[in-house]
Amino acid sequence: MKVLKYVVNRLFFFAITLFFALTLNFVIPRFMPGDPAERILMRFGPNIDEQAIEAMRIALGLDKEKGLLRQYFEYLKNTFSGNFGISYLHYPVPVKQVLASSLPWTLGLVGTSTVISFILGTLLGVYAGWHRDRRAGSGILIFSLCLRSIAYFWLAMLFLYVFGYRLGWFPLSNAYSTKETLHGFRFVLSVIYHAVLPSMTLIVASLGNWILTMRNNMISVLAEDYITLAEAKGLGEGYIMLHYAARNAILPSITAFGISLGFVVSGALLTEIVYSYPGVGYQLYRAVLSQDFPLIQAIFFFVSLSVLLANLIMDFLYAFLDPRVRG
Amino acid sequence: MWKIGLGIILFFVFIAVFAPYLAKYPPNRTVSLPYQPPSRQHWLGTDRLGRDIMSQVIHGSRLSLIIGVSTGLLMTLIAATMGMTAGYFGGVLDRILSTLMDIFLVIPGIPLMIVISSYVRVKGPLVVILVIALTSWGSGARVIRSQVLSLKNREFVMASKVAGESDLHIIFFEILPNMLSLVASIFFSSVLFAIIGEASLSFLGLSDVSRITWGTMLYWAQNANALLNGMWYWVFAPGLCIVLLGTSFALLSFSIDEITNPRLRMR
Amino acid sequence: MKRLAGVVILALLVAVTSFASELSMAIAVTGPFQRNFNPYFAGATGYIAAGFIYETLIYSNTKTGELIPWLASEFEWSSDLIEITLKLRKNVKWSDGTPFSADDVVFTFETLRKFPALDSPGVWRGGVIEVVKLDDHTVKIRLDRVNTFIIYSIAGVYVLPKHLWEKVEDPSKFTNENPIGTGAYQLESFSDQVVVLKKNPSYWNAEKIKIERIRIPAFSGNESAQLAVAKGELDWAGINYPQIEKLAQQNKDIKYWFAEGNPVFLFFNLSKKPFDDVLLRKAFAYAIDTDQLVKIGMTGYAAPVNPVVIKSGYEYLIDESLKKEWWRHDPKTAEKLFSQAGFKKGRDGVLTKENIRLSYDLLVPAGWTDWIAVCELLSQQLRDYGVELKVTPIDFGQYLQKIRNKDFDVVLSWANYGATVYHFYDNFMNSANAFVGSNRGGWIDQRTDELLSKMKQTSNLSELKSIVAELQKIMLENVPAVPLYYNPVWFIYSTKNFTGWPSEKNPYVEPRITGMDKIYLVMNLQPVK
Repeated sequence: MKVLKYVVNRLFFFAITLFFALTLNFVIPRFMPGDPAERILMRFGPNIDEQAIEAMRIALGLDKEKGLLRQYFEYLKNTFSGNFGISYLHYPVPVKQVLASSLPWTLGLVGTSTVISFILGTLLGVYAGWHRDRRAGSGILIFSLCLRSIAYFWLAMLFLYVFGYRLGWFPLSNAYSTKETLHGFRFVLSVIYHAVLPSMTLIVASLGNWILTMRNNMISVLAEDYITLAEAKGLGEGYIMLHYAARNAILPSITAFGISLGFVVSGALLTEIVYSYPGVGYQLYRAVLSQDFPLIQAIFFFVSLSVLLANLIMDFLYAFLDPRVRG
Repeated sequence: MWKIGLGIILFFVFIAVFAPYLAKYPPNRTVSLPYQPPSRQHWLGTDRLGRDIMSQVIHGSRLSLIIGVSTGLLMTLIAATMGMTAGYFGGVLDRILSTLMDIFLVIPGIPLMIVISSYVRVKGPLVVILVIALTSWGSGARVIRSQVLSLKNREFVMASKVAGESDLHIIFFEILPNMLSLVASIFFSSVLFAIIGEASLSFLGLSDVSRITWGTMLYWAQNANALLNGMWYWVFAPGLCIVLLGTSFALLSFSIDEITNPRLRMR
Repeated sequence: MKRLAGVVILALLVAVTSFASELSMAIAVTGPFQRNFNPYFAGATGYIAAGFIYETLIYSNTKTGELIPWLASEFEWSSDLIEITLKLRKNVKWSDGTPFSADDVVFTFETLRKFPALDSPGVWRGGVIEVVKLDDHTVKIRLDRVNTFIIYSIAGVYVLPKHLWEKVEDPSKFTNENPIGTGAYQLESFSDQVVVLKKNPSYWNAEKIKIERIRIPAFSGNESAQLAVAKGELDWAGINYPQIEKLAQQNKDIKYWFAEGNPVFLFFNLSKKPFDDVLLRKAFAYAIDTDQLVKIGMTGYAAPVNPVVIKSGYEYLIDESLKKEWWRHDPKTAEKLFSQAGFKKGRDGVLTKENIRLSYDLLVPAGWTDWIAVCELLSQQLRDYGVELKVTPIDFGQYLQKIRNKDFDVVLSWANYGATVYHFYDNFMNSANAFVGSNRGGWIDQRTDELLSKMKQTSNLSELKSIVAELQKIMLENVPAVPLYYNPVWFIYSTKNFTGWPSEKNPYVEPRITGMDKIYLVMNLQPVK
């Protein structure tokens, strides 16, 4: 019974938040002055005449004055049926197509980096928490505090300069080689090679958070009685650290990890821009610069949706894992 | 550790206050040819318009600090108001406010900031402050709310209630003093967030790039292809300032956590 | 055995030469490609389609002012200048094998009429009323009024294959993923990161094409394209590269030529006080140091402009007798003119006259960093005279909207030069273009309009010359806007793999990547052996 109530509660929250995000997405562009039809044609030069603008208005469905409420319902309907309209920037390419071509790159790059960063950061956090009084422990701590204060894009620029430009170890842009047409295994290799620098940036820049989260969890757990008990039993230090302390401390980290997977879609925006990586973040940036509202709305919808879904899934998992909720 | 943090902050405050005396040139004036390499006259060379980069780093501390600190203040203010109201009054009000907090907690911050700034036509420092603060107060409010929840049922609060003190009095004179350290810690981490947020927005050209902050300096450096032309110091200097200032606020926030949470304290 | 070796060597040779004749170019820095080969839509792949895959009837070379027959082998005006007859080439085929004919041409014009969003060349607005097929290889275009300029609009029409496009429901929303054109190249492969074109074997002018393949990588920002230039990965890049001269010193293959593009002006809102006063406008013209704008603001990459905005190549149109009226940077005269206009420095150092204070927002599109730099300098320069210009970068859409609504005082903007000087004067001074077109300050003058319409009704050079001289006089006397410089046409090229590039010494084409210029340029390239 308790579980059911919890599940309903979370679903309700999911629906409310999604609704809020969607509404925000609808409302903000309505405050904008200007005419999308003009904006599209603006790119063909300012000499375009009235009838062309009118034609474009008809094409975009802007000619008919509709009530705001009706527009809103149409927007909701379109969003849920996956009809995001035509991109202004890439006119007349549909927004759906733009997303389909950029989403896989982001998911691959940021997804992998998030996993690596989580594993690495958590291990370092375990170590820093266990050895918090030793020099190594505080060294890791200060290091992770510094990492948290680095802006992603700045780190990306420095990496690009040092490893890409100065040392020439890695390619400087794009997701795979554009110098020759590759197929099969060589193509995969090229993709991995091009992903090294951007994912390194993402890993290093997000490492600090994982270390700190895990370290603090560890320290809280270390004060528990069962650790003292284990020590009294004379179990090995490494064994206690991993099997007793880390195991119990990792749950909040895993929750945070699950949620951060939801941020994968949006997470690498600045990094993608610096490395010219053809992902969603980069598309959002272009869309923002050229005020491509349909594209902005669609990307923002997906970004919110993925975060919300990740939260929902973690909530359910939590309910499954935590006996208090299971009741 | 907090001493290092405070030291760095004071250092930057000093630079910001005395910027006109410390900087050799006005930061916005063409004083030499464009793209001059570092020299005795121009320690960090000159930018695209022949303006002195060192003077810009010095003057940039002003707006970067102002934006960072005032955004942090506003964010903390919103978080504290929301968190304390929700926690103290409970009931339906708590339900509504908690949902609002959760919404702002889950809606991704940087994309939302970018989307909003792209819609806003006027792009001054005030807009940057508002955009960052209004989108990012969720987590602070959450923490404060749960702290209030635990304080609300303590004896001294109960006692004041019985004594007939007003709710406002209890909130401000009984509860708030007991969680000052928490609020301070939230403030410092908000400032850290705001500094990076401002830099990111400016770097994308979404703030007023004719104002000099470390973020807009990076925007101009990127635009002028600084790294490719070997002017790495133009990118390095403002970025390093951001890291240093950010780290100092992170240190303060962390130190407070350590002090108030004895479990985290170093033995 | 010997024969086998011979075959292998031959194969190797073929492989080597075909590899060597691959041109790689940056066409735009707008990010991953979207599959859209509709030549009527601007944007990276649209530009690839326009010129490489689809072609026009006539090619208008804006650098030399020539009209070069292309899909039409010749064209002829009727004696009353109200009809044009175009003879089409007979040996042209669409790349799917279908022969090209007059039906395609008529279909294309009709499509532009039905879908005005596609009519970016403006043929129907320019006075075309009918396009008729006379026979399979002859087309007649009729106008409703005499307009000799229309031929340049016709030169912007990319001919579409009727047999494929007639099935398209709405060509103004058609992404044309598998383009079939008459052009020298066809699409070989497409990915969001690189588009590869290969030579069309049945191209009507195939012997002129010496480049087998064109590889066009996508670039997401100037930086990544600049890096590719620095590493020598591109043969042709139409991008801005700060401090290119440094790179050109290090790498002898890399060269650049920044030709005169559209002229950039400081426009005043002529419909408002105080800028309706010609003395004040003239004072600005004398006060501004355009040399500094070019040298520092544009880092030396822009070309200087003369007060009558006549580009190199058209010097014969300059009226020498008016040269004494040309303005130049002269602070003394500027100060004199400001005071003649009745302005005095107030207590805050700003020039004032009655209740007018010379303190205005100077509008410039946000993100146009070169232009913002120029504005900063303008603001610095004019401050010395007591004019306060606050540099105000605003969003591009809003920028054009403000100009259109006359909601501005001073603005840094450009005028479209067009195919010839005559086009420029028409764009810049015709009252029909006031605020909505290149006449951004709103110069409205009856005499000017008369001269411009006379200009469109003649093809006699001496008559044109006297009209242009009179227009120059109007410009010099009234200063509708202050010309500052020509925006550069960014063009960086490498002589490592190809020769025959246009350059300052051999300016046979304006190296633009947007339209037909690029195929004309490619026809002039020779692979290095």
